Amino acid sequence: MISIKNLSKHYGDSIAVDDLTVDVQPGLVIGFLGPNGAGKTTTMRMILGLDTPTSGTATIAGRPYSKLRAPLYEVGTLIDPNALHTGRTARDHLRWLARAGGISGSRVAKVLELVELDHTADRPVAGFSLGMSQRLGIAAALLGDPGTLILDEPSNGLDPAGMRWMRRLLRQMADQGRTVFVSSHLLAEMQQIADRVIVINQGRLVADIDVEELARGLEHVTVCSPHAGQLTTLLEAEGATVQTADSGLETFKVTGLSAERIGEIAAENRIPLYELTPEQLSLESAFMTMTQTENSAQ
Amino acid sequence: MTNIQHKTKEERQERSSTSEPGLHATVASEVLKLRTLAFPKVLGLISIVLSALTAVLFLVTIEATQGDPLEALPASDVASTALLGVDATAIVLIVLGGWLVATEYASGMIHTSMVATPNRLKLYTAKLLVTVGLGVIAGLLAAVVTLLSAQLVLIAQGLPALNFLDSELLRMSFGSLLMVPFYAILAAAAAFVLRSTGGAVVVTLAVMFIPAVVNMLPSAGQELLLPLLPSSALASISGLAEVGDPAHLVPLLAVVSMLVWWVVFIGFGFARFARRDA
Repeated sequence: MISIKNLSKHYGDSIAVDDLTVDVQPGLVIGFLGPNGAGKTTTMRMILGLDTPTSGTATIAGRPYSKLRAPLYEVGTLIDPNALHTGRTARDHLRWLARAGGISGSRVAKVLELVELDHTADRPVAGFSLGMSQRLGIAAALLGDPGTLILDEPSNGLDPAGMRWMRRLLRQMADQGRTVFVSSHLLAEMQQIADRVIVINQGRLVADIDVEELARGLEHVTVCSPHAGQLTTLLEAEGATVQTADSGLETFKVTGLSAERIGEIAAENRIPLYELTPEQLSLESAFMTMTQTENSAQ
Repeated sequence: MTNIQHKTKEERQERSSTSEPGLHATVASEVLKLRTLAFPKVLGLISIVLSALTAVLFLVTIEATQGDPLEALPASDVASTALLGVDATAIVLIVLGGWLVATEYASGMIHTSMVATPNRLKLYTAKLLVTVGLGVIAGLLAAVVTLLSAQLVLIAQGLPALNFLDSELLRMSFGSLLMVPFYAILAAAAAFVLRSTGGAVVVTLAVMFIPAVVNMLPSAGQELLLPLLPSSALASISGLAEVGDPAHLVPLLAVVSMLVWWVVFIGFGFARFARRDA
């Protein structure tokens, strides 16, 4: 488990991560989402001991990364796929990494085959495409067959087949009880693979929620009525959240109540309805709503 | 793509509880990094070739620089002139020492190195050990090559050969050899602070060539400052700075002086590396 407690990172007056507290449980694929500059990479770097927190702690299985006995066996990371010396071959890159981590050299050939770089392993990395560099980074992360994976944008540069493979890999890892912590901007991708999402914005936690629960919250109903104000009051009394839609004052969006229940409430109160349309928001829309709401609240 | 090899949680826990990779593993990985790139090999070769060429150049122009023809000079002067070729190797190793560290910052690979070896003292030590090792090997090769070059020049001119077992020659060679790892370490430590090959090279060359500036000062200034400089320590160890020279130090003080310079550079380099964000 990755445990983050009151983690903050300040650069002078600028706050990159602000009092973040989350636990990343094993056995699940946890998506780490946020707009550009939200603090995702900074958080991951603090977990890995690359950056020192201003305050708070980040631990893996109860210990800071710097105190792990054999870190490459315990944590596989992909932070920057271009963090390579371009004059070196893929095989040699993994060889020195294996040597540093006390990992058998035989693992190098295995992970190269796993990511389908075995035929290009002896070419200098300078000639690699982004996708190939990404796969090399994934190979490096898997070198020690670790119990925890921390991957920053692992699907970047992968072709559709590669992305399918990545989804399967992450699922397999989580099903084996490993901790899988993945950041991504590809929200549609996250929707397919994540069991849970942690959303941050401007360094602060916005949501830490199961994807299923999020999906329920993504359902909303578009309602149009000439008595919008009256109906809104009734629906909010039932626990719904009402948001005025862009199309006019008589149209609004309701979350937290099904279309059937909204119809019943309108009928009970003799309120005519011009529209009653259930819809499912995408994770992307929900994400935009969450982060915009967070920005407005500040 | 093929499937992941399945391991149970217990198998992984058992393996991860095994021993921590020691300093030798980190050093071995740094050596492997070096061996798997062309640039360090090319630079190493250049440093040796340059040492020979520099030695030959200084010897064939010795009459212009020293006022006396080669045949009129004692063996010690001939040897010390040839050993100036080692200075060329030292300069190349300053570049290599700085590059070995700075290139990882430039490429971002320092993050990978620090993830593989999160113990920053271990990583720092390993990089410096490799740098020192390279410096010793290059210094030794340069000393041998420069003296052999001198021997060839002397033989070609029908002059008496150098006696390689002469104690004065051996002492001179040792002092020259020592220069190479000494300055290479300063460059590596400076690169940890500045994260730049150019910056590390400039700082180290400044330390190397400060005596040229100090020598322009009045004698009181020279007597005050020269003994503090590593060049004086190296000249004293090699026997080139004689008793009565402002640069002369007794051997023990010369060694202490060099160690103090190393401690300051290495200590400051580590202090910055240990505390700064990667």
